[in-house]
Amino acid sequence: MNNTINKIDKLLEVKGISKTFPGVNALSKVGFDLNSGEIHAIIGENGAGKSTLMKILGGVEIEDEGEIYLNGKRVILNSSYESRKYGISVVYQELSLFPNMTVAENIYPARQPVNKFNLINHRLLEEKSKELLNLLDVNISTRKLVGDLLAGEKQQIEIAKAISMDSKVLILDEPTSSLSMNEIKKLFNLLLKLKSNKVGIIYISHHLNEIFEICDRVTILRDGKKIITKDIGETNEKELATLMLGREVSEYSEGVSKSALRDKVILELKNFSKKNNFKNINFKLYKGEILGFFGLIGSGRTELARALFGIDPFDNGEIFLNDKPIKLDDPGKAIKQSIGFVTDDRKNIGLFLSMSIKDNIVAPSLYKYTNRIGLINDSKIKATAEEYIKKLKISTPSADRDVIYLSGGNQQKVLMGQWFSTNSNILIVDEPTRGIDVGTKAEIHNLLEVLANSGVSIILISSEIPEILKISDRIAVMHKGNLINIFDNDKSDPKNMEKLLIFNASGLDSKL
Amino acid sequence: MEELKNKDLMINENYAIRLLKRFVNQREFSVTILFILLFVALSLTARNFFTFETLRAFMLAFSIDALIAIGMVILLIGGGFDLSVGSILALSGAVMNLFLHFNLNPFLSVFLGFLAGVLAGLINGLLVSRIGINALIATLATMGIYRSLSLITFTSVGTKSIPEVLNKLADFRILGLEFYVWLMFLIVILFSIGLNKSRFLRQVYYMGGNIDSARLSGMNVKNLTLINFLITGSLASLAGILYVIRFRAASVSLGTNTALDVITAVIIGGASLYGGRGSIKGALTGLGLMVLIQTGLVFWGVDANWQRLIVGAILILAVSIDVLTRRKK
Repeated sequence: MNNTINKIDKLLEVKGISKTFPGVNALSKVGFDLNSGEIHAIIGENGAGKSTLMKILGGVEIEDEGEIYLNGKRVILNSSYESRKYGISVVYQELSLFPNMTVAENIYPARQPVNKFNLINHRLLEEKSKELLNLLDVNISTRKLVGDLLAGEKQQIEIAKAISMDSKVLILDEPTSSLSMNEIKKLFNLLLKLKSNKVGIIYISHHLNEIFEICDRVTILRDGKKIITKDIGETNEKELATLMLGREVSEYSEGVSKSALRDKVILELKNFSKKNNFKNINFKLYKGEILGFFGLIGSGRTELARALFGIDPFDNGEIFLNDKPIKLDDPGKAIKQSIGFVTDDRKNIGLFLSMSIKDNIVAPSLYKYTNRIGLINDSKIKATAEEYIKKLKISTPSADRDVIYLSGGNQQKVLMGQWFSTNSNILIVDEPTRGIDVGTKAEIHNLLEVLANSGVSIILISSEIPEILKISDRIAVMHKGNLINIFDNDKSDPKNMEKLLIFNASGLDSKL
Repeated sequence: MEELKNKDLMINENYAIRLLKRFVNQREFSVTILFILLFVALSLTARNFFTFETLRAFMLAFSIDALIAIGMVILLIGGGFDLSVGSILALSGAVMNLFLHFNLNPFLSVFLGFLAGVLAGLINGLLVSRIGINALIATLATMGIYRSLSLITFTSVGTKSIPEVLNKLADFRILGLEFYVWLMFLIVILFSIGLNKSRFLRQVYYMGGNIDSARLSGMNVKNLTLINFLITGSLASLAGILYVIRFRAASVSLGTNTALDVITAVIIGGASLYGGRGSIKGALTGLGLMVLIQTGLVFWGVDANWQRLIVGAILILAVSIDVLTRRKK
């Protein structure tokens, strides 16, 4: 009796969902429920299964087992079309708007109101869009091009689009990752408005403070399993962080303890700022140290690295190399100053996919392979390429193979080879092991440590806590464009370090 | 130890086979085969084809456009494009003609005409690399502008035959071939070495392969683009001067079809519109094939109206084979 009443009250109920990908148990027997007019947070570390769960609800992935009930009735979500038909809308991190079309056309793509000749009724389209935006208290002209909107406004349009389809369930994946403080406030107001209209919202976020601001309940996932669902009033940040972690300490203990010399500052940044990206960044980099940079998506780490290396301009601030101020507004200048940059975007801005391994490896240091009259010495290039193929264990039949035919891990190694072979004094390494198997990962960590021991200073940007803790000497934590703190990495107490990093990266007080 | 040696040997052997395969897979190879087949067929069927005079005529038709093809293939490798080469060619001739009209020293006139074309190339390069206009659009505009300028010059002063000293130059032959054929050989050798061996030109392949990666690797892609356009403009300009000397007078209609003809030749020779691929060897084979078809039609007595149809079909064929074999991989 009690059970049936509960079911009717519940807008969405997920029971015993499991999903396996080759080699990975992405979700095992996960269940939770969502009431109408509730904002329900789902949190967990990278790889905990949040996005898989969301994709199943969005109809993009299909569960291996388990059941989904909507208003007490079982539903089968075999495609994103089905999901939308049942009133479930997902706003993904990568928005799916058309920048070249107006706001109104984006809200009703291919669903524009038409007249009897099947031609678009532009007036009605405008009216309907205006009405909807008014209802949501969104103040954007319906005739504006979406490409001209701010990040936060785009998100509002995406949400309006979902609502225009009469969504009962709205799922948001990391909605604040690219928003400013002000935009976040607007988003929260919009969500509260929807909440009062009885829409159920699933809110996925890494930012614990946001969850306490607007969510009613929170479900914690870890390693594909549901840990617990809690009322937000009955828990605190510290408890949530502890529930999210729960990893054994032994995983971290591989790192070799090394006391960085820290007697010589090689690079120093003073008041380094770029509007909407990062502000007032100050830090010193010592010779032979690995300085980890930890933070969430949108914390400004990659933007900082790109500006430092001269790829993007910055607004103000100074860079000192060996105590001398230098100007870096072009990667070529940075390379001349013996700085290297291993990008996290290897396909788009790192590698030359249609070119051979050997051409790729020597790309940033082509000047080293010429004789006096500027002619290239191909046998020298080949020798270097073969040296790094051996050193980095790149598996390939020859140095002439085009990089596009290599596996992701081997491509990543070629990218490393590009910059290792420049013999730079400073190396910025952005997410060096993303999407790379465990064995290769350990090899890359080892290579970085060997380099640091030989006197190279390394800035390691990583979103993986175990990686940061394993090889960094010091760790800088960024949050929303600010450098919050720099810690010495206490390798003997990784558990505590991890808490410290998570609290700081989430914008919480570290003294909790 | 023994095992290691065997392994090395095996790798070398594989390498040789791969090298051979690589060579056979290249577009230059199939186009060269086509060229040879056509040449043999012509020698066997057409009377008076296999003679030194035919070779000379072939080289005359081939050599000046070859200069433009070299510039164009370098641009295409770097991801660029130039529609204005034909107009630059006309412009340099027109400016030279202008100064000859005012009885300026012939060699100074040649130099000033050449300079005008170089300047035209520089403007193309600045528009693309500094302002950031798409290469196709920038050179579409300058194609019209340079053409207009040369027409204006012509209509104001009229066409004049070249002075005696340049006439003598036009007749100057070494081993039976005109001096500009030898000049072409020299420039081919220079740029072939350059593109393979000079660090500066090697960067062109990187830029065409991935312009963002090239920038991140410290290459100055803006200057590289500028210089590519400058090279192409200069070679087109030189071609314009040589045409005037060869025909012994400047002409209004010079170079009207040059840009598209040369781009066709270069693409038949394996260059890609998306950049990163192509070679001077390929560009010249592609151009050679086109000139040979032209010559062949004359020898076989076929109406010249067929020429573009045949070239178009070969272009489609060459690119289709390429696309289909790539898709298989």
